[in-house]
Amino acid sequence: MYGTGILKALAVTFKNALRPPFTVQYPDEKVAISLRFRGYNFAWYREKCTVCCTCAKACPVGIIYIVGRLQPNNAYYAERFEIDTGRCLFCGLCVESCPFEAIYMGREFEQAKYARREEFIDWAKKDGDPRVPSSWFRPCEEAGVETHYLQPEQRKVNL
Amino acid sequence: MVEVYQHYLRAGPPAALLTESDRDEGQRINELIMRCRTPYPDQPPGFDRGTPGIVVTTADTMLNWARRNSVWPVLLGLACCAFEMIAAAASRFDLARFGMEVFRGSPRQADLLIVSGTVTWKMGEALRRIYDQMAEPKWVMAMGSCATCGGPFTNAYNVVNGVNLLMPVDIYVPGCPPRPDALIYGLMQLQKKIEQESLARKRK
Ligand code: SF4
Ligand code: SF4
Ligand code: SF4
Repeated sequence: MYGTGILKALAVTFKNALRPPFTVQYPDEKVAISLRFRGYNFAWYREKCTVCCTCAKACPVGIIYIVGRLQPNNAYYAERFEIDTGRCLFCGLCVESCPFEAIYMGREFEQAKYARREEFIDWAKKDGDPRVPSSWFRPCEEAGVETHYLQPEQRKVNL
Repeated sequence: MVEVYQHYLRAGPPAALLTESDRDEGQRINELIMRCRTPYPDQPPGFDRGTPGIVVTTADTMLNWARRNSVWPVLLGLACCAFEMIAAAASRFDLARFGMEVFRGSPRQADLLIVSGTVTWKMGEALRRIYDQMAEPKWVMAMGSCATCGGPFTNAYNVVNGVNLLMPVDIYVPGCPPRPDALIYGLMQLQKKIEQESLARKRK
């Protein structure tokens, strides 16, 4: 019978014409982002970091710059903990490799900068700033479960 | 196979395989690499406004309003980041809401060069030509790690370590690749930058 093909095609067209709009009105309304999103900043915690530089060694592009100072109690103090987010692959190997869970991927994506220099995030200078860690690689964070890392006071210092 | 490769490493390809045009191209690209050693300086927004009079200020307001709401990008995708650019232009993220959906096939009709992906030196030559062909005012966005600084391919012999070696960059969007909304955020920041521009401004 003639015409069934065209009717079928028009049915598809009309079905889509009546569908509600699909567009996300971005600046006002944001797409739901996974809690395990590997965002374009990081979250680093001074109190957990021992300046062991495992993350810097694990990074495939070598963009984590760490300067530590030895304190009288034989613990290191991070004077500089800088990540060049402009070169980062957001692979998360630094997060996976950190033995003390001091570094997390962030959940921010609004990180466009006007200058190349601004893309270097020095976490050692952002002590009071809020951190938005992603639970990527550490999904137990989502449930608020304590993870296996040692609290600073539990940590033995080799003297 | 290994012997052939070792021979290449020692002596380069045999002369019979090299045509005249290959040699010309290699020479041109080597010259480009030698020429592009220092990066262009970044251009923070709102600088170098001079002392605009009232006429210039009014004209600026009008022009900047028109310019920032019709930033037309060049239809140019270089590598994996281009797919996020395509996604940003498609219906889910819909760049048309910002007046940017018109990806122009000709650089002469475009205002914005989104460098979306890895720039090799061989492509760098073409990219610089596209940039030169764009009419003023023009803006450049480095999208992703590769365009910003070479990204994962920094130490490769054939990759431009940052597109700011080839042309001045207005805005850098980090990410590998940046998600479409991150790209749109970068474009919104670019709009903010355009807002602060002035007729009196001189581009370096
Ligand atoms: S963040 Fe983790 S891996 Fe990196 S230096 Fe600190 S403790 Fe070591
Ligand atoms: S996410 Fe990957 S590339 Fe980025 S700093 Fe960590 S290890 Fe390096
Ligand atoms: S920044 Fe990452 S996603 Fe973008 S072109 Fe380079 S490798 Fe591909």
